[in-house]
Amino acid sequence: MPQLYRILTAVLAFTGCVSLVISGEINPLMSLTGIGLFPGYYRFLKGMPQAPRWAIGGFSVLTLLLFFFDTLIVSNDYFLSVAHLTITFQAIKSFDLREPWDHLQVYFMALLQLIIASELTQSIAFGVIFILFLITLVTAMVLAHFMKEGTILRIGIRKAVVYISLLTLLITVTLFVSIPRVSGCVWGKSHIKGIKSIGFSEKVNLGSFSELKLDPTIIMRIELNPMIPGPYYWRGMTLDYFDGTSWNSTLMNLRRSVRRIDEEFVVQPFSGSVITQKIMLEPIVSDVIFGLDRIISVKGDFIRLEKNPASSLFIPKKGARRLQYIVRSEIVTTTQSTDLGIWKRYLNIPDFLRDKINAFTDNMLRYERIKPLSDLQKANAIERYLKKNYRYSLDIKPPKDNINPLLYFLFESKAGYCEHYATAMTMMLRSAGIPSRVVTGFSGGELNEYGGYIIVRQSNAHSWVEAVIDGRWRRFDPTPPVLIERPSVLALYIDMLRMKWERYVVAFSLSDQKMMVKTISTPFRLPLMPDFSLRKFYGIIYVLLPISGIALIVFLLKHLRFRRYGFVTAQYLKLRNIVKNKGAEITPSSTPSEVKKEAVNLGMDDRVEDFLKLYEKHRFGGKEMRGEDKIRYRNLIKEIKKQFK
Amino acid sequence: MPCPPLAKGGEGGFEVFQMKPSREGKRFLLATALIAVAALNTGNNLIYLIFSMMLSILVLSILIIRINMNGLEFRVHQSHPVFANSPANMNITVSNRKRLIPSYSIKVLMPEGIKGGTYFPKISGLSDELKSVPVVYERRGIYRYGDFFIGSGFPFILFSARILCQVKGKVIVYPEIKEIDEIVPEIASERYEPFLPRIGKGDEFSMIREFRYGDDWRRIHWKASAKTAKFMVMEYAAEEPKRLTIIFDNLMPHDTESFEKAVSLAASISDRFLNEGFFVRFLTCKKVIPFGSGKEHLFKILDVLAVVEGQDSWECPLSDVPEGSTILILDSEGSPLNRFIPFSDIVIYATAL
Repeated sequence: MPQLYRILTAVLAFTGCVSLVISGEINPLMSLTGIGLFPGYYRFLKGMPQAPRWAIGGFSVLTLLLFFFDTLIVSNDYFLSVAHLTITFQAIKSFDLREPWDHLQVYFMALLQLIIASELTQSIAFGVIFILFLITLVTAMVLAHFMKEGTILRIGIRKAVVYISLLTLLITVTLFVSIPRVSGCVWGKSHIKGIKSIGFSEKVNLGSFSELKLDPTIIMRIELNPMIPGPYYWRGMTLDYFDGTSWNSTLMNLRRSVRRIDEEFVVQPFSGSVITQKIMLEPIVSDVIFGLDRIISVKGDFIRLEKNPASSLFIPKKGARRLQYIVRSEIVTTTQSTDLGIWKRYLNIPDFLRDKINAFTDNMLRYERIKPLSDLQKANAIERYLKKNYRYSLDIKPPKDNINPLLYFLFESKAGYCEHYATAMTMMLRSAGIPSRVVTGFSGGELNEYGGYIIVRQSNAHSWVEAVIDGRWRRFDPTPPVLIERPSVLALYIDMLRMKWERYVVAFSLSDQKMMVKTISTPFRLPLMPDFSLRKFYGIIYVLLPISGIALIVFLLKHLRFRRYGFVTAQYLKLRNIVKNKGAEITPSSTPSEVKKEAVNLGMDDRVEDFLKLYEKHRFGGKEMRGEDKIRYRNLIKEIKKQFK
Repeated sequence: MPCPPLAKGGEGGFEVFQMKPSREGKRFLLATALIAVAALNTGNNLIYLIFSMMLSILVLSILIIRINMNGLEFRVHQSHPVFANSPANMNITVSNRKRLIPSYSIKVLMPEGIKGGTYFPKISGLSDELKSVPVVYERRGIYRYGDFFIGSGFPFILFSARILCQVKGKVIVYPEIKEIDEIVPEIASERYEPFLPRIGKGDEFSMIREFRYGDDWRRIHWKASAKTAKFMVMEYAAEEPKRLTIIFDNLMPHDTESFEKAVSLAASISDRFLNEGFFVRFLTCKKVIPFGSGKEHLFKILDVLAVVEGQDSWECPLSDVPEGSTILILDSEGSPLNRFIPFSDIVIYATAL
C-alpha cells in the first residue's frame, strides 16, 4: 500500500474530526476519544500491526453504550451525540485499517462528520476544511482506483490528479450556484445557534447593554450605495414604557403586515433620493431587522414583513437565521410621526421617580439663558447637559442599598453607557412634557476598505432617544462619543474573506440565482426566470422528491445491470440464476456442463440440455442468431421456470 | 485485427458502451441521495455545497470514463496453433488516438470462453502499447473475435465502464492434447504388440518428395531442392508401414462433457501415434481422413476434431477388413457403432473417461 494512500486516509480522518471541533459545539469531554487518532495513525503510518479484532469489537460496543449515555444524559442532543460518536469511531478505526474497504469507511465517516459540521458551524474555517477535504478525497479516490486494480503506481498521475481536483472544484461551484434553492425544516430542527443579542426584545433591563458593549462579534455587514459619511444609526426597536428598572415595548401587539409590491416591501411611500443598504445580518436571536434612519422599502428572501406604529420592522418567526436584505432609506434626523394617537404613553414616568426627575429637569433647565424655551431648545439643552456633565464608562458597579439604577446614574455615579444616557434623557424630556422614547439599534461601524462595506459588531449596540418636536420625531443622542480602536489591516482582510464566504456561499439564495439568470440573460435577451415560488409546492416536492430519487436509483441500477450482456449470454445467465435459486451450487466459474449436472440433480428434464446445446451453438459454434432462435430461447426459459415451479 | 472500440454493431444486442456502478459507487449514490434530502430539508447552503461536491464527483466519474476510453483502438493477434485449455500467447495492442490526453487504467477483457486479460496502467496520447498475454481457450471450436471488451474505472472507484470491441476474424481452437498413457494404459502396455514401436531398417531410400510441414529438416535433399527451387526431402521406406485407424463415434452423443473428453482423447491418440511415425486414418460419422503421417496430417485430423459435433447417422464407408491396428472410441456401450468392436484392437468408451 503506497505511503501516500495511508497519509491521505489519515488526512481525511483528521479533516472530518477537525470540522466538528471548529464548530465549537462539541463537548470536549465526550470528544476526548479523538486523541486516539494520533497514536492510531502514527502506528498505521509506521506500518505497525493493527489492533486485535477483539479489542476493536470491545471498544465499539463500549462506544455505543457511551453514545446512549451521551444522548440521554450528557449532551441531551441526538445530533451532537452522533458527532461525538463519529469522532470516537474514527479513533477506533485508526487502529483497524487492514483492508481497502476500511479506508473507504474512513472516507464515508469523514463525509458524515463534514455534514454534521455544516449544521453546527457556518464559519469560513469550514470552507477551508471543505476544500482540503475535496482535494484529499479526489486524490484518495484516484489512488484507491489503482489500488483496486492491483497496480502499484509507477506512472505519473500527479498531473491527472491536479486536473481532476480542479475540475471537481469547478463543477462543484457550478452545481452549487445552479441547484435551485428550496428550503424548509420539515424534519428535525436547525442546529445553527443564533447570536444572543440583548436590547431587541419586548423587555430590556437597564444595564443589560454592558455585556454587548464588550463583545466584538460581528452582527451586520453593510454595503452602502452611495457611500455616505457617518454617523450611522441602524434603527431597530423602540421602547416606550419604563417601569424604573426596565424598558418595555407596548407596541408589540400593534404590528401590521407591510404591503409587498414586486418583491419589495414598501414601508412608506417616498420618491426622493435614497440610500441603498445591502445588509447581511448574522443569525441573531431576534425578529427585528435594521436599517438607516427612515426606512422606505425592504427587499429580501422572506415572505412577510411587519411594522409597528413606531416604524420598527420585524420578520415574523425569523428565528436565528442569517438574513440578507436590501433596505432603501431616506437619511433624515426627523420623521413624520404616524403614532400621534398614542402620545400619552410617551410621557409616562414611574410614579416613584416622577418628583425627583421633575425637580432635576426643572433645575437643569433653569440655568438656560433663553426664556421661554421651545421643545427643541429644551431637548438640545438636556442632550448637551448629559454629554457634558456625565462620564462614559462600561465599568459600572451595581447600585447599593436598592437605589434605582437611573437615580444612581443621575445623582451618584454620574457615569454610565448609552442605556443610562438614553433613559435619563427620555425621562427628563417626558418630565419637560416632550413625548419621547428610547430606540435600540446599532451606531457607527468600521469601514472595511478591502471589501467596501461597513462592519457592525455587538459592541456597536446602542440606544438613543427620539422625541416629538413640532409634530415630528427627532433623533437625539446624549451619549458622549467614545474612541474606538481600529482593527488591523490583516483583521480587515480576513473579515473581507469572511464576508465573501458568508455572502456568496452561506447566504446564497434563490434571489441570487434569479439575479444571476437575469444578468446572464440580459445580453442575449433571453426570457427571465419566471417569478415562481417553490414554497407553494413544498408538500408535493417533499413527497415526490424522495420517491423519484429512489425510483431513479432503482431504474439506473436495473438498467445498467441488465443490459451488460448480449441476448444469448443474458439468457444463459437467466438459466444459471434459475438453477442457482433452486439451491444448486453455482459459482461464477461454473461451466455449462456443471450447470447442467446441477439441473439434472434437481430433477430437470431435457429442456436444460436443449437450451445448453442451443447456447453453445450460438456462443461458440459461430452460428448466426435468428429471430426464431430468440423465441426458442425465451420459450425454453419459460418451460424451465414452469418445470421448477 | 484492428478495432475502433466505438464501432457500432454487435451480435445479439450488445451495447456499445456499458457502464455500471461498483459496490462503492452504489453506496456513494445512496449517500448523495440522502445528502440531497438533507439539503432540501435544512436549506443549509453548506449541505448544498457538500451535495454539489458529491454530484460533481459523480459527473466527473462518468465524464472522465468516457473521455478516457474515447479514441482507443484495439488490435489482437493470436499465435497459432491454439489448443483448448493450454496457454497460448495473444499479442494485444491498444492505441490511444487522442492527441493530448492519456488514457489511464485500461483493462482488456477477453470474450467468454477465453481465460486471461491484461491491464495497461497508462497509454500516452498518440501512442501504442503492446503486450503479449498468455490466454487459455476453454473449449475447442471456432472462436469469432466478436466480443472483446476494453474496460476502465478511472478516475474513481465509483463506476466501471467497458466498450465492446468487435474484432473481425476467427481462430480455430484444437482439442486439448493430453498424455494418454494414464488415460488408456493399454496403449503403453506390452500386451498390445501392434502399438509397440517396431524396429525396421528405415534407411532404404524410397523417393524424393516435396517438403511438408512436420518433416525433419535434416532430410532435405539440397541438390534436388536447388534444382526444383522448392524444398525437397528424401523419404525412406520403413520395413513395415505402421497403420492405425481411429474410429470416433460421434453418433448422437449422450453427454456433452463425455463427448468433449472423447474428442480430446482422439486428438491425443492421433498426436501420439503420428509422432511415432504411424500412418493414421481417422473416421467420424461423416468425415474420413485417409492414412497419412506427419504434422500436416495431424492438423488435418485436428481440424476435423476442432469442430466435430454429434451426428444423426453414420455415413462413412469402411471396409470390413481393417488395415493395420484400430482404436475405436465409442460414445457408450449401447452405441450403434458396436459392430466395429470385433475388428478393433482397443475399444474406449467415452462415458468411462
